[in-house]
Amino acid sequence: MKHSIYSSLLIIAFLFVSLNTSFAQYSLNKGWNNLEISGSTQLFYNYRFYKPEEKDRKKNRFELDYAQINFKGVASKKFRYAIELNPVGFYNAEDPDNGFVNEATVSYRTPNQLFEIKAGYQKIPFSRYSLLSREDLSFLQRPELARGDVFTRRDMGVVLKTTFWEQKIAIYTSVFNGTGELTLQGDNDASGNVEVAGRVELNYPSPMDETSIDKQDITQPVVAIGVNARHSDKVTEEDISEYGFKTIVGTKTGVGADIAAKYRGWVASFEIVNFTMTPDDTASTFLNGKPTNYFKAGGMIAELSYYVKKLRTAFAIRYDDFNPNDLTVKDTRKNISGSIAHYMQGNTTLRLHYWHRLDLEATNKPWADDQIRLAWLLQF
Amino acid sequence: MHQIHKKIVIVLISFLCIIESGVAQDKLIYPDTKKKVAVAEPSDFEFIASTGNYFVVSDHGLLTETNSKGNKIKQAIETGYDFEGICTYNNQIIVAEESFRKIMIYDFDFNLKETHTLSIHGGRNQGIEGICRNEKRNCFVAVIEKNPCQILELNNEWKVIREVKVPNEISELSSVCFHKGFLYFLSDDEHRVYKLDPENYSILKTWNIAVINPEGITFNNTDQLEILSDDRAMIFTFNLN
Repeated sequence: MKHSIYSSLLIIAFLFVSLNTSFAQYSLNKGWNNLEISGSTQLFYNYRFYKPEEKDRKKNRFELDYAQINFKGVASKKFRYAIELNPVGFYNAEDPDNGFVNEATVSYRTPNQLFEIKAGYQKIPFSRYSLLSREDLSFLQRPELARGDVFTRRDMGVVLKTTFWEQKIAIYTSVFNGTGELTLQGDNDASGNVEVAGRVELNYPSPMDETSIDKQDITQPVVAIGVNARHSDKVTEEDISEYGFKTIVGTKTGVGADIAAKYRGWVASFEIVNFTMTPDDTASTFLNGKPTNYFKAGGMIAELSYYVKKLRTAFAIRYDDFNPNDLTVKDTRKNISGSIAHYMQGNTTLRLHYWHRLDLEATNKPWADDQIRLAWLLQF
Repeated sequence: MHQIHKKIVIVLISFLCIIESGVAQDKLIYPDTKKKVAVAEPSDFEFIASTGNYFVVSDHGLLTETNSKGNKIKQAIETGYDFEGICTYNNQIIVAEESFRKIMIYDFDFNLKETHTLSIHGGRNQGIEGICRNEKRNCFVAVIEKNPCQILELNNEWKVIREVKVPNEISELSSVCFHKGFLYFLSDDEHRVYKLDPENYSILKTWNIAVINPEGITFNNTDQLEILSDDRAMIFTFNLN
């Protein structure tokens, strides 16, 4: 087994050093119309430290994580649009972080720059960790809380963004179908209700770029504080998520808060998210037979990263926990992760992510073993 | 916390300390003064010696004149989409429109006189970031930020006449200006100002500046370096002597 791991890692290492080409985005212009084409693709090898008695070792594998193509443009100097397609998602329908369509939007910003309205299939303005793009994360995978099994991360709807005080304050108000990624199938659920979500961000002394690595090595401290909330009342029956309450038949209310700070290569961030869910069915298994009509789920994420500019390498450590049901005793998953990302010439990145399980929830979902993943990211 | 977890944390912290001590950060110089500029997301500026005012361009495609305190005096009616570079030459204001690869030329009353489109590919935000007149070589110098970082010489007909070899020390550029016989390049990602020989583009001196998101560079009438911060909408003044 060890021999096969080493062989696999050597193959990836060879592929890395073989690549010496520079890539960038491309754009086309016609008058005051612009179309930009860009993309990214990531291959990884994953090795899970299974227990000796485990017979099913299928997660030890090479995998094409994603191969995304982005079309972004400006029409007549006024309207922006974005279409992000990931063909790998076509074969990965159950992965909430890896859809076939990741964005399809049109947006308009008022001439005074105060308001921007964006309509279409897009990320819901909830949870800082969910809003970061995957290429800009320190780690190869989001923590359990923000991976897309606990709450819907994308949906069809409209977001109104308002900025004040030289963009130091940003307010997002939004309304969506409330069926999440399944909204691409067309219909709303039988209730016809919508989901509402909002987020307020305060940045000081200037807007913080949306990355979890300070590759710019910024010379003055920047802090960003965010609070967000969302609410739905649905009768959605279909839920293919790990925990079964990504959308529930009943009401689901989420609140969260986050803080991030950057300075001279360091980025520290902390986020907490909690959901209160009230199933319409008082005999729901979520309630564990307890004399109550609601249950809670939530957790936290704490992360510290440091970018060594001269080595073009980022190091990060992350703690995350998640409790899928407060009505179950000892039902909290706790992880600690470490990562290294080396940014090479030609917009390629070598990324390593190690997960260590500190504690597991009662159901052992979604998996219990430690894991290591080595990935090769290319952006063009 | 279990013993093994303590060990993991200790090893990681030790590792970071070793890296931090071995890779010393560059020494920064700090501004002597700073002032607000009444333009949202300003991306480049030019000090006008005859009036003491500034011409400022912004990410929103606006050309604005401010007084010496940064207060708005007037704004051009003809707008672009994403102005990133500005310089003056022969009583004309040369503005680089980054996203749409245009050079827009205004007179000092802010009337748009000419528009030229350049053939520069790359991402929408990877067009011309800064422009100035190289008086030594009688041409314009334009910089492209990154992916790849480029220095271009343009003639008076806005044709690229030379792609200058970018010095190895420079990985990203956000603005450029010409002052008293030398070229000065500004890097946003590196927080650095480079003084270059305008004939052969060799680096003569560098300064590391403590400014967030520096996007514009000029010199005032007392030869002080002035840096414009996009995110903070502020002008920072440095004495380089």
